[in-house]
Amino acid sequence: MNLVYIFSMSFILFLIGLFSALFFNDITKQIISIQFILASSLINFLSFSQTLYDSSTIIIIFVLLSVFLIILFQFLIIIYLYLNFTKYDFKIVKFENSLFYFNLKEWMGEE
Amino acid sequence: MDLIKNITSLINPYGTFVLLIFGIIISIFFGISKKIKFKNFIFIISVILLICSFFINIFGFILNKNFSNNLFTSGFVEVIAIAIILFFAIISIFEIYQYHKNDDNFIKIIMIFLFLVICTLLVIISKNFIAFFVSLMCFIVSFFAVITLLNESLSLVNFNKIVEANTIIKDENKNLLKPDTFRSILRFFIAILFFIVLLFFGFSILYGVTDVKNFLQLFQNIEPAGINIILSLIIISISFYVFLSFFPFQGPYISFTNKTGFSSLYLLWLFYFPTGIFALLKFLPIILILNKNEKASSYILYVLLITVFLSSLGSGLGGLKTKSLRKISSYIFTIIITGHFINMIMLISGFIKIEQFNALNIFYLILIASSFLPLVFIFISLENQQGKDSIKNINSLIYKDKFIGVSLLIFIFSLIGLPGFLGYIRQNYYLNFIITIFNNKTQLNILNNFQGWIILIILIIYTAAFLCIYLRLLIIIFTRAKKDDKDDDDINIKENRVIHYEDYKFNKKFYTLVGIFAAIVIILGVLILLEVIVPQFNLFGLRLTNTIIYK
Repeated sequence: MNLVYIFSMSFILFLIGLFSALFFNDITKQIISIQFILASSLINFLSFSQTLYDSSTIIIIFVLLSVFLIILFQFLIIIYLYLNFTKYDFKIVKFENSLFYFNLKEWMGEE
Repeated sequence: MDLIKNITSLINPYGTFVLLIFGIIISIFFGISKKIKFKNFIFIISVILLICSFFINIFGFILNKNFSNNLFTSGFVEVIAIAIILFFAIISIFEIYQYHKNDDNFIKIIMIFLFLVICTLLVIISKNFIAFFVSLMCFIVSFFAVITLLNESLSLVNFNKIVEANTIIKDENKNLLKPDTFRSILRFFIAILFFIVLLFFGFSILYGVTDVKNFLQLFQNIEPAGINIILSLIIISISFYVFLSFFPFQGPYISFTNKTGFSSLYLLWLFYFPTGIFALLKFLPIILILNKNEKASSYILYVLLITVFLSSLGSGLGGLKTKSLRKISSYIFTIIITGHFINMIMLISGFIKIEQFNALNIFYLILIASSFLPLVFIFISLENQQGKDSIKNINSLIYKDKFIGVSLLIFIFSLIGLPGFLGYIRQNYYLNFIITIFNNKTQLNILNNFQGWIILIILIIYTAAFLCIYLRLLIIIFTRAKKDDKDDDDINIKENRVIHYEDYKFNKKFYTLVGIFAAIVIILGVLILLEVIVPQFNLFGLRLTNTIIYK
C-alpha cells in the first residue's frame, strides 16, 4: 500500500481527534477523541517501520510500552471519575466548557 | 576489592535510585498501617534517604565523572539538576508531612512520592526515546496518583459525606472543602493526557522522517531529513506549549492551583514544571541543527518570541486582575518558566553558548528554590491562618509583621532582579544581550535591525509583565488597612472561630526558615553584584559568576 495514502488517512484521524478533543465538553467524548490521535500515531509508527525501515524491533518495544502506559493513564482517569460519581451531581461527566475554553474569563482565572 | 570497585563504578547515577527504591521497599511493609509511630518512622527514613541520595549523587559524580549507556546519560549538568530536584523533594516531603500526617494514606503517599522522584530523575538522565517516553509517562502516572491521594479529603465523595452529616456547614465552609477540586484535577489531567498523545504523534512523524531512537543521534540524523521535520517539530512544540500551560491554554492549570490542597501546589511547581522543562530541553538538538539554516533560524526565533510574548502578556494581565494569591503565584511561576524560552532566544542568536545556556537553566531552578519557594511559603502560611485565599491577606503586612514583610520584599526584589539580590544575574544577562544587539550585532546570528527591535520590545513586555504583578504586590504590602473598611468579606470562618486580618501568628521555625532563605538571597546577591562591579573580586579564590554562569 502507498505510504502517502496511509499517512493521509492517519493524519485525517489525527485531525478528527484533535478538533473533537477541543470541541466537546463531555469527558467521555474527550477521552474517545484522544483515542483517535493515539490510533493515528500507531498507524504512523507501524507503517513507517514496515515500509521504510527493516529493523522494527526497537520501535515495536517503544510502541508497546508507550501504548500500555497511555492506556493505563486513561483508565486511571476513568476510575477516578467514576469513584467520585455520586448521586449529588449527575452532570459530573460534563465540564461546563470544553477542555480549553478560549474566553477572557477563563484566561484571567475567574470562576 | 574488585567487588568494591565494581560497586563504586555503579554509584553514578544508580546509587541515588537504589537508595530511593530502598525507601519504597521499606514503605511497602507499613503501607496499610495507620499508627502515627509508623508514619513518623517512614517519614524520617525517607528524609534520611533523600539526604543520602543528595550526597551520593554528588559524590558519585566526583568519583566516576560522566556516565553514558544506551538508555541514560549523566554529566555535570544532570548531576546539578538531580541535586536541585532532590532538594525540592526534601522540601516537598516536609510539606506533605505537615499537611497529611494524620491521613490514613500517609505511608502510601510517601511511597508513591518516592517513585515520583525516581521518575523525575530518570527523565533528566534519559537519552533514548524509549527511556525518555516511558519515564515521562511513569512520572505523569505517579504524579496523578500522588495528587489524587493528597486531595482525597477534598474530593466530592468526602464532601457529600460531610454534607450528609451536617447540612449547615455546606455554605459556611465552602472555601475550605471545595467540592470542585476533583473536577479541576480531572480537567488538568485530561489536558496532560492530550499533551502526551500529541507528543506520541509528534514522535511517530519524527521517526518516519529520521529513524531516530536516540536524542544524541538527532545531531546526525536530522540534517538529511531537512524541512520534512517541521511538521513533527510543530506538533511537539504545541504539545509542550499545552504541558507548560502557557496562554491561551492556562485554564486547567489555574483552575487546578485554585482548588487543590497546599502540598499539591508544591508538587506542581517543584516537580511537574521542572520535569516539563527538562523534557523540552531534550529536543534542543533539533533546534540547534535547524538553526544552521538561515530561514529556519529566523522562523524558530519568531516562534520563540511569540511564545514569550503570549505567555508574558497572558500571565501579566491575569496576575494584575486576579484577587487570589494562589493565582498570582501561578502566573509568577509561568513568567519565570518563560525565562527558559528567552534563554533559547539568546542561544540561537549566538549570544550565549550551550554551557552558559545549561548554567542559566540551572540558575532558574535555583531562583525558584531560593526566591519563589519562600514567597509561596509566606502566601500559603497566610492563607492557612486566614482560611481564605485572598490578596487582602498581605494587606499592610509590612506594618503587621515587620520580619515577614521585609523578607517578602527581599524575595520580590530578587524575582524582579534588582542589583544586590540573587535574581540580578538574569537581568544582567538581558541588559548585556540588548547592548550587544545594538552595538556588536556582527557577533550575533541576528539578521537585521528589525529582529533586534522585536527582541527588545518582547524583552520589555516580559520585564513589564512581571514588574506589574510585583509592583501590585508591593503596593498592597505597604498600604495601610483602614479599620472602617472591614465588612463581611474581611471576616472568615474557620473551625467556628472568627479571625480578623490583624491576627498573624507565625512560629519560630517559620521565622527561621524564611530568615535563612532571605539571608541566602542577600548574601549571594551582594557577592554577585561585587563580582559584576569589581572584575578582580573573589571570595577565597572563588567567583560565583565564573563558576555558575560565565564558564
